[in-house]
Amino acid sequence: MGGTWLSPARLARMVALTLLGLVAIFIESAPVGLEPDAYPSPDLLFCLVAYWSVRRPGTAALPVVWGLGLARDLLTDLPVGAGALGLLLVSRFLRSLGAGLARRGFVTEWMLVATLLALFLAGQWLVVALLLSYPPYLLDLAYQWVATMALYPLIALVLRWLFRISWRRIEPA
Amino acid sequence: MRRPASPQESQLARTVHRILFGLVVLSSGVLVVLWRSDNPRLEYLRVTLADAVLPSMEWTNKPMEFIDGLSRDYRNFLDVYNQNRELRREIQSLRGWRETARQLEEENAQLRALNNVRLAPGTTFVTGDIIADSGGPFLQSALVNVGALDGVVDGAAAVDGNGLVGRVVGVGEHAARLLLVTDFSSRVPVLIEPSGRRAILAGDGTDIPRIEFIENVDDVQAGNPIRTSGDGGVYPPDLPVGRLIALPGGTWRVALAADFDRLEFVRLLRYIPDTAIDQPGGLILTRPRTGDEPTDPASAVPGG
Repeated sequence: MGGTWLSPARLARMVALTLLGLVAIFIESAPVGLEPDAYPSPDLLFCLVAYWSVRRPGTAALPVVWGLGLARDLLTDLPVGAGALGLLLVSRFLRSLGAGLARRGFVTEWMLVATLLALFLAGQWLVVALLLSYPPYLLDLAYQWVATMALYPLIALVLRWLFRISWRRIEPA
Repeated sequence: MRRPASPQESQLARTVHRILFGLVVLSSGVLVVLWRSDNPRLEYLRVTLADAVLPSMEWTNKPMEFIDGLSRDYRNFLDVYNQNRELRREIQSLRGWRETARQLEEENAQLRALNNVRLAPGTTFVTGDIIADSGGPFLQSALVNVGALDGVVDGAAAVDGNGLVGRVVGVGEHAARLLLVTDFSSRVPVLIEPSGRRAILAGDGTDIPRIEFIENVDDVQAGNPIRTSGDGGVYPPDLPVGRLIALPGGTWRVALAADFDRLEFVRLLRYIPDTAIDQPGGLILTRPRTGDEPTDPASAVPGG
C-alpha cells in the first residue's frame, strides 16, 4: 500500500471512527434498565457505522468496522462473530452505493438503512435459531429496530455537525 | 483510494482487500461456532476485553446513570404521597414483627446453645457495582467491577439486598460477568417452602421466570416462598429467590425478590460447600487432599 493510502488525515478519521464506536458501545451497555422487560437499547453502533459508510466510505475500513462489531458482540453478549460480520456486510453494501446514495437525499438513505437494520437483526435471530440456541423475542427486536431508526437522524445530525459533513455531497476520504 | 493510483497498485490493494475480507468472514464463522459451543477461550477473550475497557466504561456510565437517576427520581416524586402512606402502614406492622423477631432470636440462641449446632460453613462476599448490561434482547447479563483480584470466583452466586440475581460466568482481573436468572439459559435448583418440594427455576427472558419439574404439584400453592436448594453445589442453599405464581394452564412462575429495576450493587458470594456425602465411596475413602481445599472436621475422620 502506497503512502497516499495511509495518509495522516485518513488515519485520523479511522481513529475517530474507532473512538466514536467505542463510545457508542459503552453508552449501549450502560446499565440502564436491567429488568428483562426493559426496552432494549437502540443500536448506536449500527447507526454510526451506517452513516459513516455512506458519508465517509474511504475510512470505514474493514478491520475497524469488524473490530468494533466484535468488541460489541463480546461486551454486550450478542452472538459473537455474527453481529460483527453482519455489521461489516452492511457497511460494505452501503460503501458500494456510496456517493450515489448520499446524492439521493436523507430520506432515501434512512429507509435503506432501516431495511438493512431489519435484515441485520433478522440475520442474527436466524443464526441463533438455526444453531438451536435461545433466540430473543421478535417483539424485543422490533422495539430495538424502531428505537434505532428513530435515533438515526439524530446521530446523523450530530456526526454532520461534528465532522462538518454536508447533506448531499460526500467529501473525498 | 479515491485518487487515481497506478493500475498495479490498485490491483494489489484490491487483492489484499479481498484476502482480508475472506479471512474476516472465515474467522467470524469460527467465532460463531465457538460462541455456540460455549468455548472457555471466548469467555476468556470476553473478560480480558472487559478488563481492558472497564475504566473508560465507568467514565461513560456516570452521565447515563445520572440521566436514568433523574427520570427515576421524577417518577418517585410523583408517587411520594402514596408511598409515604404505605410506608407508615408498613412501619407499624414491622414494629410488631421486630418484637417477634427479637423473641425468636433469643429462643433460637438458647436452642442452639443446647444443641451445640454447627452452622453452615462461612460464606464470605464481595460487593460490586454493575457497570454494563447486555442492553440488547439477546442475553440477560451484566458486567460487575470486581474480579479475581477482589476474590471473586467463577460460579459465585450474586444477590442484591432482597434475593438472588444470578451467578458469575466469567472472571477477569478487575471485572466479572454475571448471567442473570432471567436469561434463557439460566437454571437454578430451588426449594419451595414450606413443603420443601424441589424444582428448577428456568429463565426465559421475562421478568417472571418459569418453575419446572416441581416434585409434587399438589403440595405447592401460589405465594409460597422459594429459596435456592443448594443442589449441585453451585448456589449456596437458602438464598431467597422469590414467590410462586400460578398461571392459568398449570404453569408456575416466580415473582423474583431481587429488584432488577434498581439493581446497582450486587454481592458476589464466595461459598464453600459443606461436606456432602453423596456417594458411598466418600464415606470409606478419604479424598486425596489438595492444597486449597477448606479444612473441615468431617473429612479429617480417618478413612477405612
